[in-house]
Amino acid sequence: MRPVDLAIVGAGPAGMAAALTAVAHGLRVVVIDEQQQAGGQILRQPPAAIRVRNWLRDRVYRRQQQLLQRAQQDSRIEWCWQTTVLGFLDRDPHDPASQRLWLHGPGGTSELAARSVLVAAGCHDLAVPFPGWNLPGVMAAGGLQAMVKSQQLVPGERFVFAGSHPLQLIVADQIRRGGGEVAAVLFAQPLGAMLGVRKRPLLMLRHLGKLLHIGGVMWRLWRAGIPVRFGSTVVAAEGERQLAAVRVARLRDGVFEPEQTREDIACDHLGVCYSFLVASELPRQAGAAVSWSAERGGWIVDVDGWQRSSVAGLYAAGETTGVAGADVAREEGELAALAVLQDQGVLDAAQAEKLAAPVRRRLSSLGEFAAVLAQISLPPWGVFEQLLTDSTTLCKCQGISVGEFGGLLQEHSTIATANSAKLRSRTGMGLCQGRYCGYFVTRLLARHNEISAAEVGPFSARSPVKPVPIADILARERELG
Amino acid sequence: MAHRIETGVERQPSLQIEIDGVAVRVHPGETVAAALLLAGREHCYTTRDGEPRSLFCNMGSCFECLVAVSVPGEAREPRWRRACMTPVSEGMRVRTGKCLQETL
Amino acid sequence: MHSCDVAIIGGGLIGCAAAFYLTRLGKRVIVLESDALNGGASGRNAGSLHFQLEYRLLEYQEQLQDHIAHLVPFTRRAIEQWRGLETLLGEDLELVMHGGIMVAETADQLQRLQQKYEFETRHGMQLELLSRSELRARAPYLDDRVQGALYCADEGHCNPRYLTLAYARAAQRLGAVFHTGSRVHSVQRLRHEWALATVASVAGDAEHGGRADYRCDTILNAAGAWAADVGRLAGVHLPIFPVGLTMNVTEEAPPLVGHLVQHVGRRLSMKQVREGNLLIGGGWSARLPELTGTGSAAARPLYRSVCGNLATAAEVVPALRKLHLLRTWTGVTGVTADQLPLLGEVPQLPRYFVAAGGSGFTFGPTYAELISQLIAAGETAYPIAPFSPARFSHINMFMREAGH
Repeated sequence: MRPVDLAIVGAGPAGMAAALTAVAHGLRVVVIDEQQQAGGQILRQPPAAIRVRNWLRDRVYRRQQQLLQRAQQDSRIEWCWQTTVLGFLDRDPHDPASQRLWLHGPGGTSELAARSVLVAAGCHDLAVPFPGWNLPGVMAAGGLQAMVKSQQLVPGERFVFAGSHPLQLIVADQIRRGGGEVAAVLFAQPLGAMLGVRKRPLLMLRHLGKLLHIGGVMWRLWRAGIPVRFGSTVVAAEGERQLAAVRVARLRDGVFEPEQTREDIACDHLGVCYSFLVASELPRQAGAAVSWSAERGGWIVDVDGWQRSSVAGLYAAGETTGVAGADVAREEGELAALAVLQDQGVLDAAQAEKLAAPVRRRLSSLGEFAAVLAQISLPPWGVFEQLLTDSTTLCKCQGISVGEFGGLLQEHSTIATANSAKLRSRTGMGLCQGRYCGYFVTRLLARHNEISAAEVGPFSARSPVKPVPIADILARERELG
Repeated sequence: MAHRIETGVERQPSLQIEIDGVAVRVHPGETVAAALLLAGREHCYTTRDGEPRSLFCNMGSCFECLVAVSVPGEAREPRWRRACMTPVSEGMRVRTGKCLQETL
Repeated sequence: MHSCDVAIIGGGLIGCAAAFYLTRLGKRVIVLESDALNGGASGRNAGSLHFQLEYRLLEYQEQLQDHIAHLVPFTRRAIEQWRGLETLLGEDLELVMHGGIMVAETADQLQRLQQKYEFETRHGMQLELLSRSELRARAPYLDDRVQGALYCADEGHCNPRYLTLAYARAAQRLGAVFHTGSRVHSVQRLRHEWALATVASVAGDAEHGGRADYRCDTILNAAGAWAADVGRLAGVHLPIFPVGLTMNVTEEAPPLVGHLVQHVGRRLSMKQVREGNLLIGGGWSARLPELTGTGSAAARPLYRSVCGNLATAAEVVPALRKLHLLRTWTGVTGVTADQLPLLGEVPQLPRYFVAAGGSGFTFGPTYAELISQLIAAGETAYPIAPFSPARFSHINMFMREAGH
């Protein structure tokens, strides 16, 4: 099997930008994505069978839309849709420099050899546990948004949004425009914390487009009479087998106000929107070094100035290296492609550096803005800690509560790493492989033992990173004979 | 209840699937998740402790929207599938609320 | 400077269990673990309690006849011990001993089962040969290709993620001390005692990590598959080799497989645990994990092992085809040069003991109990001389004496 030059995991902004740059210099590139079309979550397209006039025409999406058009029209890029990368397989002893990926697509599982692999797998919503969050109707705000964007469906009647990330304003507005009723948008942090950005006038000026977009959204919500509150959040979801109301508490100095001041808001759907977690399981399974960042998505992949991970031939770009948004992802994707071209000998160092210079200039400004945004978009740990009551489900796959987990830590004082906690408690052993509970397991354990997140470490990532039907593996086995 | 956005959206002629024995009209390109929302059946599967699990991430990451799906022409027995990643097809049968430890 | 009677190197099953038995015998014990407790082979195996002779031993049965004879009575002791383990430790360990079968598909394999049956029963094991129809009645989940099986009523499984920590906790209650994230990097023999020094591993815990020094009367090398590396620190060769094995686990499934299932002629071991997951292994090779303690060590599966293991399993239990593979990982076992455990004092090193060897889960509690008796009292309730490291003295003839 002749390896492709570059396999890219994820067809979002980072993946598309990298693919365009790599094919422009003659590399053979395969882009793999679980969805049916390019765009990633930011531009989650409607399927071909659903045609939408003026889809995502807001100015703020314009540059991403241009990237999408260019990528889709470039016939040199090979796309591999509805395909999950299950993991990195053991290297081929006859070609130890190449990576071997284990894929699962509509035809079963297969192998793909690639000289270089770029993981640009994006991120998913940080799912903060709170009492009742497993009721049907409680969803990630990103999940609600994807329903509107790609299915052109308003997934309920009456919505509440709660969290700390400005994305929830945008989703609330999209729901409203689609004909849904938004009862409230709640930010846990005080308005003052959000306005921290005003202390950086130059930065604000450079990113005026985004700020104006948010401003416009807030203006439309205000005109529609939708309350946007700061310093309050949802502390419980209530209902019998389906969400019927959320319980809202105000925060004073980071502490929830007492029971009697709380208020119920009726709704059938809640969008939870605190922040995001990076999808770093593939690089971790491949052995790449990671670092902890509570604000930028948990265990983020370590990269050098060229997006190279600690594993030779493995690159990471976009949210996988720390949540920073689509604009940063696009630039990092391009940079990664330049690194691959350089490492494969297509470009020499001087050529690569020359092409990288403008990318780096754009990145430095974008990165600064992303860092400020990440900082103001995550409430202090104390807010989460109050939501994580003993009866709250910590690991939804295995049905393990915060109290049960804490009890095990009490009983077994020798548990100090995320892996030892996983082995004893089953958190992270279920269908999602710890993608959702891992962040909180790390933070709870670090707090319990008064150690750093780095000492706790991540869960070991195992292949397949997503469950796969055994029948689909065996279909392939028959082929191998 | 969920509704489709109609303004500015063209869908192809509808097809029929079955959710828990009830016929539901859906359009090509829609996901099983969309069909569940439209049918008001969001409880996807049940944990061994009897708790409901339902659509959460809508992007194939969380595995909370597993439902038992059988597709005409494919395997005779139903298979667990992520509702959010599975497009509907004519004659598809979806069962919700089952426990993972139950025989499908 | 920490001082104790016995320093145990290795916080796996044998180390933690020995900590329990030794403290119960009145010894002051410190366990030194480079990673987290149960982080190596002890927590990565599938928890099988296989008391019948395994495939790996059967393949070399003729050369090993004499040796294997020692294992059978030892097995009877292990069965007894397992029956009382949950009571002893006061914890639910998901221990079940509801029987295991070793299946055969061909006439040749049936004949091997017959020979195995005669050999083991001659040494006092209680086994039952099941015909095809008896097997159909007891194990309806098996494919028609299975022609017969050897049944052992005591076999079963226990949760390997629980057992080691249960021992550690019980030992802690009796006063044993555990230092995790502490990698032993030097072992010196002083005039009357041992001196050890550790450095903090990356995943070290804040309280006990960092550099530390220890003095003790006795060392127990309980480093399992890595016991050879630890042995070298003291200047001896211990012929035990780490081997990586492919392990697979399915999603939680309805009750399906009621036994520990093994195969007499193919690499297969399978069971269903309490939550419903099926664990599938049986000796398919895998790349050894690097135990860095950071959790980010590469864990790349060998594709042919995963496919081969699952294909074998699905041929024996066809219902597997309906399930999802949830994870693969690499289990580790330590194989000694003659497949028998290393259990006893190392002749070249005064008060230096080792307890390691294959079937470390099934026999771990027994190894630990016996070595503890030997350390504390100089004798054991059951003879373990055949397992003494003295049988490998020839490879240590020219080794330096530790500390000199």
